[in-house]
Amino acid sequence: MKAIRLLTIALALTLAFSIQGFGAAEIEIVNLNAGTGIGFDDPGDTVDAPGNTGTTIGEQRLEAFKAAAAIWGAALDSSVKIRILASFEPLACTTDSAVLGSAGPTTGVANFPGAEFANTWYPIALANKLAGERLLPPPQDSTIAQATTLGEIRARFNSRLGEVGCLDGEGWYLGLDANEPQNQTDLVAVLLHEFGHGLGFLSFINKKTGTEFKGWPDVYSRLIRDNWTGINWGNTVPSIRRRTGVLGNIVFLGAEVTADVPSVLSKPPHLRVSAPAAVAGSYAVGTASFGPPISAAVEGEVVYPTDSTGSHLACNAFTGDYTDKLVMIDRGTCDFVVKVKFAQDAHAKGVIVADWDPANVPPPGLGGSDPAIVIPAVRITFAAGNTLKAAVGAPLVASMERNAASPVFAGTDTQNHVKLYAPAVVAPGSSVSHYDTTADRNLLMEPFINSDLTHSVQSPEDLTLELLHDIGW
Amino acid sequence: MSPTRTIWLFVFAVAFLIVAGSFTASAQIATAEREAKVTVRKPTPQEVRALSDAMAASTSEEDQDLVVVNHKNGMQSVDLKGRFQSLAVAKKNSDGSVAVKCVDSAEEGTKFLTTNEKAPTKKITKKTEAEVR
Repeated sequence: MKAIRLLTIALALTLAFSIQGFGAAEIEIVNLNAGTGIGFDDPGDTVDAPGNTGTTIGEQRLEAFKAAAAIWGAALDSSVKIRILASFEPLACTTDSAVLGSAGPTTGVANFPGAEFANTWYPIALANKLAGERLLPPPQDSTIAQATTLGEIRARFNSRLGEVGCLDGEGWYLGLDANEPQNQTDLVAVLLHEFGHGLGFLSFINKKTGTEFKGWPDVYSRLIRDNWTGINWGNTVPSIRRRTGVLGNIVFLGAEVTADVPSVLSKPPHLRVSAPAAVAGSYAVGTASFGPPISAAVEGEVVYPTDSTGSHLACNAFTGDYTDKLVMIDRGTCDFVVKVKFAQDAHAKGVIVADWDPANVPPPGLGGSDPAIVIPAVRITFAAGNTLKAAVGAPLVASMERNAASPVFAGTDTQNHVKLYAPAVVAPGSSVSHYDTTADRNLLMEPFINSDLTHSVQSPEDLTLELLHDIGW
Repeated sequence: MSPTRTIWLFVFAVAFLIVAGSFTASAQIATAEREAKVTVRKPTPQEVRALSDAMAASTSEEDQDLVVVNHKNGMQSVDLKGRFQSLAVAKKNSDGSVAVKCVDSAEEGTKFLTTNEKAPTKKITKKTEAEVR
């Protein structure tokens, strides 16, 4: 009863914000916190948030919601309003971790007027768009059972974030400029991502069992292909879906996504060794989270110098000058950013870190952050390091570059179909409702929400809108 | 100054230098540690259970008790009852940054929050946990 009352009050007092640009799609944020004094209604002091005009913390949260909705509203095309039932409320936390929020469709529908496929589940917002009308109008006497007909997407986010006991000190970034500091989380980026799921970037298939929702496929999963068998998920059996869902061999077949791959994704980076002939070839690399990305080729002679203590670990300054050289150093003892900075100070043009762990195949990336680093760095495997160290002085010449000869883009199969996230070693329940993390550049709908996202949802920065077009938007 | 007093002053001076040197070295180590890492602990089992429970309901993909409504126009609809939601979770990295991952099961979320799960770094991916050493 309390929930009914709250919902009724919220709806009665609803401060509904509609965003529509250039006749694209109207999105209405239904403020379920209205009149409660919490969440969007919190009268607390504002925080530093560039571009956000809210005059209370609650208003700033709402402005961030409106900004994310406006981006989707401008990108989508629909004559039917999309209603997002939205709230900020206390969600689960610890001092070092937290549930940030959730979103998803309120309802699944099938066999509606305008459906492209029969016996196929659609999220209600997409179904409304295809039908050209609101398929499930709200009843006159709202009850909890009927509450979800009041909106097409439900979004619930954590109001405690940053407080003591809830990811202490690491709050939301409410600025609208995608320029959050390292210890904050960009709310607009998270909202764009989660709204994407609510609009249809999700599978209704039960990933634990591989079974379809109520015996029918969904419009998203119809475009998933199992590359082991070449069979679409819409036409296969639960055991195959369950197997491929956790083995990382599924791709998205949508025509628009596939066509836009070359304008969004890059060829994978590699280390191309050109001399001596005995070790020439392409070596896999992991890239760094600091310094410039691997784009234009950075070529030079590879040297393997010792630092001032006689070590190849480069945890101390070099005494030599390595102008125009690629400096190879060993992983271990100190942080990657420390090693690379010492090499940069010795005028290296790039750094190759040789792993010490033979199990790291392919080579992982180099983590860390140091804005003072301006040269590129990569990690190679333990085996590759041994091979190249033996050739130093020959001379050994290499280039850190994109592998133009690669038959795939970073994150696709050989037919430019973008891979979906299904990690090889994972507990049952692994997601297939995200792009794979091998995609490069970073995409909005990868599972990890990265700090370099631009708030764009479409090509040439992203492929989310293209996927939504492929399922019918 | 008596020889005894001189000896005592010498002993004090040596002791002072040793202690001061020790403090300086400790301070340097402490500074380096402060710059390199922040303190991060894993959730307790009770906290993990609370987080997992919170994630389980909204990410559930069970459909057996969800009701298919048949409409006059031939359409079917199912109120998802708050299930099939995608959930964003966050944790502190050892370098002080925050890693954010969207999950659609409690198992995936719990795994992310309780292990050193890593994703490949690509460009400027501060929110992506990766080995820093």
